[in-house]
Amino acid sequence: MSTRQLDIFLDDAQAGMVLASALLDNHGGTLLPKGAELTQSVLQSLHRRGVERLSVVDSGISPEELAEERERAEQRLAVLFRGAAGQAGSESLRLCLLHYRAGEAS
Amino acid sequence: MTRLVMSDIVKSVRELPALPVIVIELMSTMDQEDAGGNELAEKLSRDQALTAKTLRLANSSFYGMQSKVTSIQQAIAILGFNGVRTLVTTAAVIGSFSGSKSGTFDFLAFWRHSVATAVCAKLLAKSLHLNQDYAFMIGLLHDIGRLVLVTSSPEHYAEVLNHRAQRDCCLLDAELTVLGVPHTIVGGALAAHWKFPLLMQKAIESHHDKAHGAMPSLAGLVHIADAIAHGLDLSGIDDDIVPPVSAETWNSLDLSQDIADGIFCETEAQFEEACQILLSMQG
Repeated sequence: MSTRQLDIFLDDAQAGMVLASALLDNHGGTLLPKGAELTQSVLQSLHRRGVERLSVVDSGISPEELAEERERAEQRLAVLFRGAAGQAGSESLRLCLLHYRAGEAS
Repeated sequence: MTRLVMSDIVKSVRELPALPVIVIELMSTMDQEDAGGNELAEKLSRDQALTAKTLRLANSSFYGMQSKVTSIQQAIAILGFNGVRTLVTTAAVIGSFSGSKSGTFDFLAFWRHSVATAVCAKLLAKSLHLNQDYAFMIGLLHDIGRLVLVTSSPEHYAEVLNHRAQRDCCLLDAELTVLGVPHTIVGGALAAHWKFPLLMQKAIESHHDKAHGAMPSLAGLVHIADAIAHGLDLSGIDDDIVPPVSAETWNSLDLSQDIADGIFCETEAQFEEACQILLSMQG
């Protein structure tokens, strides 16, 4: 999990927090897009829909910590993908995972 | 090198513990939408151990039921025939390999990877509007050929593991070099022996193929779910390796970064609990 996002229970969510990834319903439809700000009424509606967990942007992280985290994620992914380094399909998935792990600072 | 031939494999597949008759019947009717729910419930109720496991799985929070299910009839009413079929088969298949032992093969890591792939495949199927029950089953069983190889020829498979460790290659390549028979073919043979639907046999057999067609398919979906499960580091193995990903298959799923992020996040969130529940089905 990237340190730029926090996986929290809905009960711990507060108005003003921002979604780090889109919230999907049981049918794969988007309930709320990534980047949406949580308000009291949104939180109540998520409670009614039975949402239990969500991931929000963690704003309490320094740029240095962020860079370190990205470095760590990049190194681990390089190890995991060593069998097919540079091949188009593997590279697409590696970049997608890197984006997920380390946010958009590319 | 110890080459295995297909006749050895067929023989070892036949020697495997049989699945309960009810499961074979269920799988062979998987293509029929509503093949006699009452009859199924009645037959299943005679296998008390399997019924108990099925209901335990249905009532786990991982399955997300709103209220407690106390009978197979009730489970069918809520989850549908296909949903219950997946539950019963999952419980039976995991149970059938529960006594397997090997000095060198890490069974726990094997099942953890299988569960991660199943969870991810189900989420991918949801977002691509493909059959989630099929996707889950294929994800769970995609590497089942490996269990056949390990349990039927433990010494040979120890050579495979040794070769993989020395060369630091994919397990599939090590199987091809040492045994000459990959787990994909063996898994397809087992799925055929167990009378799984042709679609599932093919998907298990082709999950390492270089192409799965230009349209999203269950085989392609499990190919990607397998790679994602390795890429998310869910097997818990230090020197794990992501098998090569087909560019055509990756593109056919047409995942945006947002959707992919949601699937990665949800896979991680559901994984531990799914493991706990599914692995408690053993024994």
